[in-house]
Amino acid sequence: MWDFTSPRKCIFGEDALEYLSELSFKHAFIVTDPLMRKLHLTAVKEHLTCEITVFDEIPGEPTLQIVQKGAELMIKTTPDVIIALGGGSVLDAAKGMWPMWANPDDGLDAIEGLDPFGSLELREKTNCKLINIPTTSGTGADVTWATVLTDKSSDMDRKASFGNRELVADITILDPSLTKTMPVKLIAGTGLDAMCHAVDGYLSTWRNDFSDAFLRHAFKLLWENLPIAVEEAQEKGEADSEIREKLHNASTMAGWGFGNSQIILAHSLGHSIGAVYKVPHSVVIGLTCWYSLSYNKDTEAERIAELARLAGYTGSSDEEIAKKLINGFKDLLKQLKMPLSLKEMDISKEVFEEGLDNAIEYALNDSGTLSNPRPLDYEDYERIFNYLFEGKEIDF
Amino acid sequence: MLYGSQEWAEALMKVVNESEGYEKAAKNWEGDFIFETLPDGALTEGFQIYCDLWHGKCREAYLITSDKPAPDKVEYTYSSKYSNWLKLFDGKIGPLKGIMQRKFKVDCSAKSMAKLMRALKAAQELVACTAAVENVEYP
Repeated sequence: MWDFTSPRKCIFGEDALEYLSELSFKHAFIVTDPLMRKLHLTAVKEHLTCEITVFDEIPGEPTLQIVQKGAELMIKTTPDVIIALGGGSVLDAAKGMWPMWANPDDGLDAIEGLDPFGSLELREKTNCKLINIPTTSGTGADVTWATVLTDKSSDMDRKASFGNRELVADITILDPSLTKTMPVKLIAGTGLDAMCHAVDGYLSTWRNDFSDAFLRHAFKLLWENLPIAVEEAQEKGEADSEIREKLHNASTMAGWGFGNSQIILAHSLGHSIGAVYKVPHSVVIGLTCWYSLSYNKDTEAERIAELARLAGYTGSSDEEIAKKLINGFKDLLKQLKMPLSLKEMDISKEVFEEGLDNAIEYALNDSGTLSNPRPLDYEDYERIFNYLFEGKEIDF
Repeated sequence: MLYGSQEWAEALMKVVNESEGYEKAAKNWEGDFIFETLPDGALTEGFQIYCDLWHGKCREAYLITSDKPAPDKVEYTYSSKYSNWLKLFDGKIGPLKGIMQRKFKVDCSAKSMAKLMRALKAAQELVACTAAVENVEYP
């Protein structure tokens, strides 16, 4: 048995935000960040006729502590809809606030002790729905059920990951007008994150027919449109709205797919590099995706070749076509001006070596390791991290 | 030795305690288990194995009987039918995927479940140890 969890509705395309006018709520609790508040809150509020509370304190890296603050306000205001308006951080923060509100006596345990497989009765306990409105293309967090927050309660930041399928939103609204203001670097970084979700989910040993259907098309849309979006944004200040719509849809499709499959090596590397070396996910994930493709190329030649054909590559064998995609992926990283090694990300050799053991430990215990097609142990990770630092191609 | 016997439990403990991979992966782990095999196919009678896992080692492992019951409070019970256990040892199911597929049931508190999810490598290494026990006769 497997299951494929989806939002109840996905509203997409031009004027998608207007869908909010068709819904009726008593009190909307909007979770957002200061920049999204400035750029997009008015557009959202235009379509709401209910009472509104806005919590706009979400930082770039959402913390348990800020989520607790938001949850306390939810407990006071008792909304019947939570609207998360923003990028991955905002979407993840809202997912953390909801169970804390539903279990007010549990404090941080409501998240840290969250049963990933049990029944949370979130909707029953709070009488509330969750609507996600992503503003990047993107993390896919608008349709996934797992998330990571940072605990800043001690000297050493600690990651707290949690998830449960009830955290998948009731509705996701994909309005391409919201991605108009994305800077070039963010288009590139979040687009690569989405592409990596598609690759990861497609190669994962947890793949299934349903996730495959989403991920194949997501990958194709991203491969075709991401370079165009970045180029247009660089030359004209913004990408064409149709291109942005394709990317926005593809990012959610990739999230939908991998969220019901699993991440693999690219993300176990990305998560650990983020936790230990503090490199933003959108900066490192393209590179770790390339390393993951390279590491898995023999084990999953057939699957990588399928993705390569979607990208337009041809050849006389799966191995040949897979290799073309892997080389093409590196070219894409160069075209998007992404760093090609950890040392290019301002990590000194000293800092790298000091954190290496922790990074390996972190990666080993990431769920991406379990579902990676080619097995990974401590020594494999040690080698991969060292190659990553230098930007050396995988040759083992 | 017969799978699910006291002898097998002792052999498993030995394999776990000699495993560098498990020791490394589980160096921070604290928690005890009942591994329950339910009757299915050629296995006509189920059994339970108690395992006390502590910081990379197995402190105790035995076949639970009326003469030697499990301790009063065991943190985890990991349970499935015999054919699924065989698939786990063969690598056809993973320890986490098995739970998600509802093939394996884990009985523990929500907090303990969250703790288990952060020790996936240790779980993988433990399964590898189980598969590495030699000279086992499977019904």
